[in-house]
Amino acid sequence: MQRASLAIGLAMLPAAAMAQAAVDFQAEVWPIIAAHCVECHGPEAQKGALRLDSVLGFKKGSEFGEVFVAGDAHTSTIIERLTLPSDEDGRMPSKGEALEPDQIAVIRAWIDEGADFGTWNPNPVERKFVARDLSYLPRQVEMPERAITFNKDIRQILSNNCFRCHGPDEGARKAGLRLDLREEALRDRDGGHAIVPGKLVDSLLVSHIFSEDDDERMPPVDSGKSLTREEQVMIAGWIAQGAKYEDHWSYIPPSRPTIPQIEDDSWVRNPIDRFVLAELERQDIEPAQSADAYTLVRRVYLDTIGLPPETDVVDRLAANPTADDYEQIVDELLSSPHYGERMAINWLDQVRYADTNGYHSDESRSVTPYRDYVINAFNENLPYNQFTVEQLAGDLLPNPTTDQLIASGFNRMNQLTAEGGAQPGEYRAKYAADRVRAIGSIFLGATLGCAECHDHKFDPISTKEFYEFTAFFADIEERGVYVTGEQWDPRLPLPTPDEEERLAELDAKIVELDGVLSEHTRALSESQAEWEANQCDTAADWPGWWQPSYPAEVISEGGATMTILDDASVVATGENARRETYVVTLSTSLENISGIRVEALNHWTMGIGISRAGTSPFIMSEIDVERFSPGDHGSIPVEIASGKEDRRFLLGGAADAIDGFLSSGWSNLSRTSSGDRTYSVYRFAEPIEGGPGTEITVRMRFRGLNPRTTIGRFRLALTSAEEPGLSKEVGVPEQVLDVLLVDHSDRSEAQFDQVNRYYRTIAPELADARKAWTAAHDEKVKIEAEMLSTLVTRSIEPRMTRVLPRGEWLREDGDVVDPGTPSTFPDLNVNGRRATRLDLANWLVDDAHPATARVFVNRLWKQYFGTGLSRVLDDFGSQGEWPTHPELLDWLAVEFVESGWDVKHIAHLILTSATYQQASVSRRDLDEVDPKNRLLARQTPQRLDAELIRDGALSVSGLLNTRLGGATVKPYQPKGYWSNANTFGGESLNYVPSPGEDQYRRGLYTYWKRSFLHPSLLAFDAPPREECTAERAVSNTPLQALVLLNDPTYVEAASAFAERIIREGGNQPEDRIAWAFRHALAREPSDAETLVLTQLQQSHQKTFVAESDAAEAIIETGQRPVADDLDRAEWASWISVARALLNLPETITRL
Amino acid sequence: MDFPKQQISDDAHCLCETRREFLSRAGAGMGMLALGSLLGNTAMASSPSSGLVAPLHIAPKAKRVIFLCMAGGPSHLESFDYKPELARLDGQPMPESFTAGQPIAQLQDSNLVCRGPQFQFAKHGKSQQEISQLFPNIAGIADDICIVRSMVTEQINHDPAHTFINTGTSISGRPSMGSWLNYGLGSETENLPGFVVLTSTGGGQGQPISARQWHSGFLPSEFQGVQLHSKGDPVHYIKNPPGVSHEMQGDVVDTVRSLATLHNDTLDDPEIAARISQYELAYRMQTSVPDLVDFSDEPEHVFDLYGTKGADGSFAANCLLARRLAESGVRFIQLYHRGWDHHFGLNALMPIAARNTDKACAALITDLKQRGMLDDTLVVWGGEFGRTPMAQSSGRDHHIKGFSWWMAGGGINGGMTHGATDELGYNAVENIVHMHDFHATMLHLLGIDHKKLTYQFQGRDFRLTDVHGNVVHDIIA
Repeated sequence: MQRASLAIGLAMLPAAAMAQAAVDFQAEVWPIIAAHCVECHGPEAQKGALRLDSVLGFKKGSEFGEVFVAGDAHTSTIIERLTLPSDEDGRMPSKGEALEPDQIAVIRAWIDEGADFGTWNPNPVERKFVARDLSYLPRQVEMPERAITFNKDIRQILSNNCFRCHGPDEGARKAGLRLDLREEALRDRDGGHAIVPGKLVDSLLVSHIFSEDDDERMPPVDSGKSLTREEQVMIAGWIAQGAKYEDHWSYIPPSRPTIPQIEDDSWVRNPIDRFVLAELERQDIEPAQSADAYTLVRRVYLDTIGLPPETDVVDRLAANPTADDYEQIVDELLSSPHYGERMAINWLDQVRYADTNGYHSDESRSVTPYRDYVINAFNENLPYNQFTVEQLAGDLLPNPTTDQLIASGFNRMNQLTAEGGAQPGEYRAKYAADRVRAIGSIFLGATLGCAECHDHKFDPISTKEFYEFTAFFADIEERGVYVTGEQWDPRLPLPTPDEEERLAELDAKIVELDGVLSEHTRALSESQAEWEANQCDTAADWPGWWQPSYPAEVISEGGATMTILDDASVVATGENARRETYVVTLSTSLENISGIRVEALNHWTMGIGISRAGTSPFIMSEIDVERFSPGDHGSIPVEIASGKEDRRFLLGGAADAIDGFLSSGWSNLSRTSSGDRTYSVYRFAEPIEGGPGTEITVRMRFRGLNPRTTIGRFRLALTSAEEPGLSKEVGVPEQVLDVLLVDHSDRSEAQFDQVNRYYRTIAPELADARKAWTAAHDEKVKIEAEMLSTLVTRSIEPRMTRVLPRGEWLREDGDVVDPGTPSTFPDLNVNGRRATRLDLANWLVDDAHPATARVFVNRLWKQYFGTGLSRVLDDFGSQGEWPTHPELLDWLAVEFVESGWDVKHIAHLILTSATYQQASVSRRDLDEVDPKNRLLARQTPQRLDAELIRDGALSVSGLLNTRLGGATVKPYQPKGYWSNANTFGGESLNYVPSPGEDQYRRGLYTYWKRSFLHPSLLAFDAPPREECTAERAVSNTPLQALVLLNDPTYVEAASAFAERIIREGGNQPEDRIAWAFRHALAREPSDAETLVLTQLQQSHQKTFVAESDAAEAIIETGQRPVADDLDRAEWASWISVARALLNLPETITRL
Repeated sequence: MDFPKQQISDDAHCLCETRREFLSRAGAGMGMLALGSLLGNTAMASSPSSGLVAPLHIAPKAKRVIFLCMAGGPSHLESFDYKPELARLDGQPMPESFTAGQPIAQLQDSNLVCRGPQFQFAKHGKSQQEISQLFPNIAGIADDICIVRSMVTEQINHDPAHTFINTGTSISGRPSMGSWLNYGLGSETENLPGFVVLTSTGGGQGQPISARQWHSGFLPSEFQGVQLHSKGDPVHYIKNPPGVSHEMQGDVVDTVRSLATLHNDTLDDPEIAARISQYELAYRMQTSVPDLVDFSDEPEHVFDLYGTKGADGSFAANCLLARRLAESGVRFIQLYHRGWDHHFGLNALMPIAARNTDKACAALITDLKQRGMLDDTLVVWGGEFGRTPMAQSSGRDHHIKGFSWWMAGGGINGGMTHGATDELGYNAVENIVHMHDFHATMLHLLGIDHKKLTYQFQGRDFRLTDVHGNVVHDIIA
């Protein structure tokens, strides 16, 4: 690199004030100096490292020594130089005429009088610096001659090292100095300036960064940061060149750049190549030659559809390697249904798609239709702008299609909790922040999440803007804390045609049964009359008898809908609040009421169980009772002496419901489905006197370990028995018995109706109909529970959004904010109304948006080249990377938008470029110049993604099931891998591998359990998808070797592959090896390679002949049926060959 | 368009050589970088390697960490923090001055009632440290441990609280401390991963422990924790496929190496050399790991000391395995005992959890000490939080404002108690040790300035302590 010298000169400041002098420096001396000296010893040039435009410069002197000796003009160099004869070397001024004698006299007098500068001080430095000796600063600094630009050279240095304390975050700002804005950096600060364009000496930033004094140097020692010499120099050079700032590149909308002219365009296939070649030509680098046909076909297959190529396609191109043929292959691949699968992997990483909720017990949730939507969208080449809108706001589109509703599941991909004791407010804050982080990354390439607790340290994004962004999503219907075992509503049901049909049948059946159950028939009337006759004196027939009571009033404090049923039970539907209290008032005439019974019953609305939390137990934390008698002034608490229950669950019995602790209580778990019933009874310390007009108010509170573990259907009964007992008998409701005591002729219509209705709940004649009615409902609930559904976004009245100061969710003192986009991006104009998710989505895909298109094409580039044009995929901000080919990035972005956001169009352009088709063999000639291959003078080998490694092995073995989409599958997994998991919703931890064909599906359909992602996927860097992942790590660990060597998936694939080798590869070992190579690696083996594998096969065949059990064992790995017509030892020996091939680095790499 | 034929050099004669000759030759062909990895048993990415921090920022006192994580959140009030005033107020309302405006987990809306300590405390050792009767064996090593009674954390539910103690934040996707340590210090073992996790259960509700807890987050996954099982297969996929002997497996690995080396003559890709060395390590692990979990070489008195013969999945077996891992050079060994979540049945269940762990904890310290390893092994005992002074039914709720840990060895000053909670054991009030401070101190003991161990991700320099953390010098010997 060419360099020029530039000196930085600084000098000591006066150590002591001088006496008043006759010569005024500023008025008399400085004009002379300014006119004759500063041209060479000033801001433009510092010959001899001397500057005479500041006190500091005078004092510092030149590289040859001091300029003046105060009080002694005679020995002062400046006088000596000024008075030398004009032909002498070193006479000053070196150019032009000597100074006039009177001018020299003035200077001489000034020095003799003590060289006081008076008030002249164009470069005051901060007080802190005044007493410091800065003479150690480097005098000569090598500096690049080229133009230094802010975005390319400076922004990242400042951002990495300075912005934390001198950046956008006002709260963290030190010394009031802000370096990310030019006007701020140049601002006068009590006479000092951090940056004075063109003037290094005057720029405090320069003295601070070059200081060798630990107390002064920036960045400070305790920050753990330091500037390299190169960075120091770069900043100095930039200031010397005028300290020009630039708007950050990624905030400026891309405009279509001119396609560069190049010298030799024979290599070029499309405009991409011109941008790449222009840069290569500048650096005098030749692009690499094209990859061979084998490599190229395998590459484009793996990059496009994620599967190894079919051998006939390889042969086709090898035989006729023309550009047209290659392009035809590209076109075929882009129309393959597997293209969508390949593309989906990256997208699913970003949106954090997973099949479980993530936090704590991490249980299933149904979102596979969303995954299939993504696959289909890519396959159908849905324009990216539409793809974006449908996901962010599909539910807000007019008359949304089913697909658009499914797409809105995008907003529901975040982790959710159902952990007991979790606070809804806290988790709402977590979900909101998670969304902003993810969406900022996915579409804006902006680290918005950094502004959750404080203003962004590096980019102009404030905390307020962070919360304004969260407010876009405040309308999403969701809970802070869910219930384990319950679904993660809202969901969109997606019944199959069969299910739809059956549901219609059931509805019809229910209507029919409703008719049967309400019909008046003679038989029913007769049996009812008989029953009535028998009831008159049954009340006290059993010890501890119970009389149910129809509640006079039922209130759910949690907002549930309470319905009193004909059998005196009450069912709760609708809202199922986190904390619930049922307040039930019974109006009774009973006397000497000694206790109350609470029955919990199943109801079809709950599906299985007696709790509203699915299969979780209910827990009635506390029960308390008040009584009111006519004449009382108010209710009087009734003391409960004891409680007992028919059965209980771990969490407590009836006694725990009267112990004053809300977190324990009577708890029970349902073992069966419909008809299940359990009860607890409570004895009052003193019987309630009772009698007509008595009211008993019962308060049942539910505050269980898990929220919403309420009783879904209950029935209360009272007793006057001396000892309220546990009895299975239900009893006839008090109100019904009261009517039965009334003579038929005196009964009102309503009384008849009441008895009739009650009787229908117990009439033996209707038993079958009742059973059928319940069964129909149960089946309906079951179908609805089991039918495919997917989490979707449903919009509700937006929750209020507040700024949470320092991100603390308990704070309620932050400003209330409306939805808004960060001001550094273009405005979002909604004419004053509240902006919606749809507005946000449309704003993102505005043709002029600076980020959306760039971010996407950059990721696509990454997929095809291994590194983005800007390396940091999810951060285009200050801390991101200035693109290596900014014009190319912009050109692609504009092309993308103008093509109608056509993803396949951009993919096609890239895949058919000469740049893409280069060989990936490393180039020694570029090791120094371009070690990371950022100039693209070759392709870069890439290790395959975890899913594709699996797909490849299954594909070459012939086991791969290529079915598209559908339910998730479970590949073989080590036993006990889930043993540290725990489910509270009853989901089984017994991992059962998928049977049959489902075992051999592509990796992306693997059940994605966030807390325990399949260990083989995890080993190859698949992310758990708890957070948005823009770029997977690529690691190289021994666990990967263990997976490929020993995971039964790969052993079984090797066994099947070996079978194919034997059956299809010919008879000679060499032919078979060649066949195997063509399938696994899409190329021919070398003789050496053939020899290595032949030796392995032959030696292992011997061993397996001797150990037939061993041969059988490895052949039979896995669950597929194995053929019995092949020689065992031979087969097993070829498994060794197949295993070796499946383990090759080349096999899991696309070259 | 011109597609040159792929070229693979024919280099067949190497096949007749012995493995060692082959290895050295192959190494020469692959450049100096890979040479070392193919000679003998050193492997490039797995050899005892220096980490990022070289030289160390600070003279180290410890080389490794054994973290005994008492998952679920053990009650400090029944273990290491005796509160007589709380005993006095047993059954009485909790003064509201303590609880107003504080985050509360399951006790929301309940009457907050004080529950006194449920077990006896006594002073032990020369240092007279106060320890509850539930931990008689830990009491026996009172002079070796430093009890910290002033721990605080920020997350009140199990899952995020574990994420917080492991990664310094509750946001998923950040590296765990074991990953940070291996990233910073490198590995001291050539046969094992540098970060190993063991789990056991017993004594109460076993809350789930996600694999996220030992994930390397944005650090390269070679720094990820590997879970070892003291029962069953010790590591996933460590066993050869059925029917394949160790020798045959070796043949396959050798073949992979030969083919990869041949191919790399063309490609010249350092990744290939690195991958081959990982195959070497994997192959060695297939022997070393089963050896490691095979305790048959341990003398009887060691079994007696720990109270296990191993291979039973118990915490004691894990402690013994931890010592063996420490001897083998594993940098960070984390044991989870899932059994301390005592919302209910504190009096019945906590003694079980204590019984499951007490003896083995003390045995580990004693054993390390006898082997001269305690000096450079930092042992930490603690849960993701403590428990409320308030009763929750028959137990206590989660509590984050003050709870107890202990540490030993590795430069920790044994026989002292650091910090204190208020008279009811609610808030840490003296010498507060935040989780970030613990991380800073741990890194300090291992020679790392916590502010300097950083990794750039999403454009930001991340560190284990985020932007916080102060070294607790008072507990360092």
